[in-house]
Amino acid sequence: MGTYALRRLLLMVPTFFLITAVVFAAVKLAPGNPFSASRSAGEGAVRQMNPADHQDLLHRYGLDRPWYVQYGKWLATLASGSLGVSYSQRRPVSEVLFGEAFPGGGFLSSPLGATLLLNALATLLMLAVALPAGFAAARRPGGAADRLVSGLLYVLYSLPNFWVAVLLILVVGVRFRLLPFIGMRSEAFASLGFWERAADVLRHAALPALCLAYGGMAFVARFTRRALLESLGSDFVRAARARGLSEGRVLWGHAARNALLPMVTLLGLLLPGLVSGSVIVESLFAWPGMGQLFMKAVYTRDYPVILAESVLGAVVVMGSTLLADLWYGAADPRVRLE
Amino acid sequence: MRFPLSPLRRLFPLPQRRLLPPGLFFPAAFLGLLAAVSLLAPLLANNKPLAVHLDGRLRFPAFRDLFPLGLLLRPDEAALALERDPRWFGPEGEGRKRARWVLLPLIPYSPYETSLDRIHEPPGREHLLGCDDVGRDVAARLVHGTQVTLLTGVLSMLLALLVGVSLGALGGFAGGAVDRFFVSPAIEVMLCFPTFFFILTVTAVTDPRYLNLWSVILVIGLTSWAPLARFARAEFLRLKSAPYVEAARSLGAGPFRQALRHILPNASGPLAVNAAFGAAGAVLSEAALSFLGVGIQPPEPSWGNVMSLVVRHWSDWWLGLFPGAALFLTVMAYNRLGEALEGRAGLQNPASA
Amino acid sequence: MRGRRSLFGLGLFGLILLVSCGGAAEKGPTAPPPAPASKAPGEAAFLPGYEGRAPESGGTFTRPLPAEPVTLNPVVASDQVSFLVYKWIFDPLLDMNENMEPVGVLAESWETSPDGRTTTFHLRKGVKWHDGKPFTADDVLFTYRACMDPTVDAVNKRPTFGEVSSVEAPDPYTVRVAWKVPYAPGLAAWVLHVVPRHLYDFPPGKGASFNENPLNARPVGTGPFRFVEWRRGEAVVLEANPDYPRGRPHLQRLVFKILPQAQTQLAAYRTGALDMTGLAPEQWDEVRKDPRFLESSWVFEYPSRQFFFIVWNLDGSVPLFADRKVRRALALALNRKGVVEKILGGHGTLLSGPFYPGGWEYNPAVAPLPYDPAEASRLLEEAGWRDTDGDGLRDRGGKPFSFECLVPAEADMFSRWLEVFQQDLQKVGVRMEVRKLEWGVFLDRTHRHRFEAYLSGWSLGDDPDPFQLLHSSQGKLLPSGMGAGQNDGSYSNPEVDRLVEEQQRAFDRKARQRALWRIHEIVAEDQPHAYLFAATQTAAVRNRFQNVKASRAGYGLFTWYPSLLEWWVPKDRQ
Repeated sequence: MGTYALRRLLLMVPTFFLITAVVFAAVKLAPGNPFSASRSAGEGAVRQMNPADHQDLLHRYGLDRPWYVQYGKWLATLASGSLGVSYSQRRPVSEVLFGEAFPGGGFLSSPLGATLLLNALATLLMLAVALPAGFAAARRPGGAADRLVSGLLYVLYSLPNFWVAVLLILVVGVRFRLLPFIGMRSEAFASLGFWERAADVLRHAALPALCLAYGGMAFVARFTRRALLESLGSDFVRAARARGLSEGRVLWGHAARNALLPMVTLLGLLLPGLVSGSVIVESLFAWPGMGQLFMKAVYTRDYPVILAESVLGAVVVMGSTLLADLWYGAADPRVRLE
Repeated sequence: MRFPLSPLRRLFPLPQRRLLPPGLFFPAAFLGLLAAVSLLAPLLANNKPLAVHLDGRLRFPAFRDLFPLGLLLRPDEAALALERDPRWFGPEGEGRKRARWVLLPLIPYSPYETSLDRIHEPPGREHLLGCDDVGRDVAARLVHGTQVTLLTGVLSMLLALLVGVSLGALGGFAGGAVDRFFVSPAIEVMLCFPTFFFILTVTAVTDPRYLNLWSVILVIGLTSWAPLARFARAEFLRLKSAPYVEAARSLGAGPFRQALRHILPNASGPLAVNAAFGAAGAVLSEAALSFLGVGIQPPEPSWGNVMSLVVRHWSDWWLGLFPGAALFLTVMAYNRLGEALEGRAGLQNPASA
Repeated sequence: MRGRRSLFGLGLFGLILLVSCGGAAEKGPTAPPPAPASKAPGEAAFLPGYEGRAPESGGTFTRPLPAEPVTLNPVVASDQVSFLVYKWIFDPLLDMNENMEPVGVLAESWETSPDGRTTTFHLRKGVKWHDGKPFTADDVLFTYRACMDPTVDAVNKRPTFGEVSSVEAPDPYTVRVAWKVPYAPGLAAWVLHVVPRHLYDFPPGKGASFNENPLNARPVGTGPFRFVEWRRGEAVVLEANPDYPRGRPHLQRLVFKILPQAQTQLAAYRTGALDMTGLAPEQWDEVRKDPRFLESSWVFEYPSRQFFFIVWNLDGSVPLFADRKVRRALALALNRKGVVEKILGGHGTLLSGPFYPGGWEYNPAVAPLPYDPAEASRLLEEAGWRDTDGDGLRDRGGKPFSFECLVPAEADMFSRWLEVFQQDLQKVGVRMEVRKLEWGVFLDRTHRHRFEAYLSGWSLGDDPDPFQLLHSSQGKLLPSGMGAGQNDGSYSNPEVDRLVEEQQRAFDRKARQRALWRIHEIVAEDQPHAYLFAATQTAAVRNRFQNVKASRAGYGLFTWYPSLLEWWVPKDRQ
């Protein structure tokens, strides 16, 4: 198992190069560049530039070189500890992603902070629903609760999240105006007190977090159910029952504690889904996070931002699949790549 | 009173009470319906009549749009001209005779036909599912969009199977250095690939000229083979040393024969399960791309691009509701299919009980 | 014409998800009740009793920005959003008033020599930079030098100085510009926002320090407002400059709130967080039925200096369009009126030529072509295009009438229009394929004249000179394969060439207008492009602001001089 983990860690190196090189090549070989692409979606990109000046500009920024030369330059910049400078915002990518150093504005209002916040809320929501559902189902396998939970969650699992987002906006946001569905804060945010601010952000996060959360609920609930059933069938639970402990004590005191351990790895399985789900959900709800920034960067051909986000995304996915695989590998030798 | 089993029953003893095993009914029925709709789309939604009695002759203009028929039939000028006059019942004159009778399709609109007079028209008797922002009939677009959905699911998974199984077989069967330094790392790298990010990046930067059904299928297929390859590899690894394969080998079967005739059929269970779940993912990816405006480009119809319009016009709820519902049922059908196959093959997803 | 090809502008119609409008505008079968009239362009808005009163000082005006400004350095900035902010911090030498007439700002006066080859600007004395240093001609020279330095990111400024041969300052309050040729449109280039030399100076050829100067984020200008702070992702704040030579502005503070989602503007306006909001067509219909909204707001509908047209390739490679009759027929077949009414919600003006209908250059005697498919069919028949094989498409000499129209993929409004036009053309037996291209590819194809037809928008600059668009020299290909100018369709008419040159040398407004009107007439006959329509914009401003006015010439509420500087808020409403 140790060598397996080490191997996986080592594999992250070629994975990193492959992902960045492929993304780099794909974006570079495609038509357009930061100066021809409209600068930003809603901005009314009006550029008057005669072709010679355009060429000159490309040359000055080295954008007329072959993609691998530019890739090399990017790697060199990365090696020196910098993510480069964003073309569309004219400031360092690290500042674009992580926010300015204090007191320029808190971390939570940076794209990374906003995304982390949304995903954390989504995960909490997911666990809050799925864990009790899993417990209920495991108490009497095949019973009414079990069938209800698995049936319902099954339906949820197949619901496309952008459709749910659209429906939520249509019903909750547009028709009944119960919750805001655009952005992360309301306009009066600056004049609010701390708790009001927190409530304001939560209200804005409610719909997008729900959209990110429900898809994983089925998964988590089933996982919980299985882990719990396994642990209920184990010797020490039987021993506890034999000692005459009540069913509740057995469930909560012994089985649950044991079942929760493998569930840590579960988060590893969920993260990649959250990461890719964020792009659509953030764009739809105009949540100022990494997903929305990514879409914007792709459209404006803001290479340094696209690459920085791809690297971050890959690291998250690699880390979490590694975690999940270690668990999978331990449980099911068939999938272990050795 | 007992009847003896018919000879037929004796030959196929398995399906005794139901035509299909329990879990397969819904997916088979729904996907079958989808296939029928997509094949017959030109007859279900078309601005040309199914049949018309004109100039003393019976004509079938809509049938010419069915894929092979248009190529086989002799061009019929009068029938072609009907296309230009969608509502068609117009008064006689201008050298045109009024038809004796006409049989229109269920949805008498083409998915491309725009009209300024019915922009944003809500669902009603004339347009069952409403109209979009340039006055195209939503029902017609959904019917024709079925082809996109079905082809994406099936073709991209076939492509992924082709790549995944070849690679997995290579790794599992050849083993050794090939597996250690090429196949396994390739699978692992691909598993770590932020796939949707990548598809999104590629399609978003692709020249819109090349953004069509085929390129979308290609991109999805080429990025979703990793789980299939992983399972194929594991199966080949396991079955390589199975007694019947050993036996085949000792009888002189070459590696290809062993792989194709002996291992693959036995490995098909888990592969089919994964392909079914993969198809659900592929359908979702296509819809999401089209929804974001980087998939199938209008005026070509796709469920995703119909739904994308609701974002511009939140008051047109029908643009969001119907395509999403169709998508949901399709995804559920594929997932159910995977689930049922999984049950039949006696496989268990680690996360399912 | 300092015009520029543009994507349909200004956040009105964004990309995929960044889209306009929201709200649950219920669509009912009943027609909306007649709404109260909005303020017409040129009409100043006053609450009853305030007109003619002396303006009072104080008050904050908060407006939305559709995106974060890129930089507040006016030389480097090339985006409209940055302009909306920096134009209040930096003053130009001269600016355009609401009727598109030049007025002096940093220049007190100017004169052009009788031969039209030199222009002398007399600068205002006693003007100080916000840091207290005096403003002199040296700063103007420096700004010009920065614009022309190839290492400075000012590529969109350089072409406007194409006809300038030298700029010098005989004394600290005079700037003399020498022109290569007598050039009437050249004056508009001096709507040049001047930056301070003492803070920005850099050695020639070392523009990087200028492009990345930290002052670009906390600028120092001579303008009516001083920079206070820029909270990234949130707002830019300016305050009145008490030392402004033309008197301090009445408003005390300007706040530019960054609101990337057009949908949120109206909502934010309703909560009071904004004092101004743009209105999408659906929102316009919604608020005009809302008496409470109208009670506290001025609503404006005004032209924007932007129009849309389809360019036919006339360089001989596409024989389809060689015949003037055919081009006329195609334009007649397009239901432009339908698109304006149904898709733009009525917010557009049909066009008859390549000028803005509100400008002095637009010849009102030339009427826009109507929508007339029957006449279109007749003209096509006359030109020999008939449907001989009964396939529904017209053909001539065995070739069907079919062409490809390019459109930038990013502007998805354009595609919607083309989808409608596609059907219109099909009705007269013409097939048009719509081909969406990424903006960069679109520019490349059109600059190299590799197209049959394309749909594009044109943003008019501060001068109506149609040279780039209509002069035959601008339709030639350079040895590099790129077009020499913006006449991508290679339209060529010697009479138009002569008139275009004539109006460039006409320093008398009346004489110039005569030439431009004649050009308009000829072009409307020739139809080198299908002129579609010009967009109009709609906005609401809170009515505690007095003396609010939209420009007649298409400069909107803010982009003319003095516009905002004339606004004021009564003390009891501040």
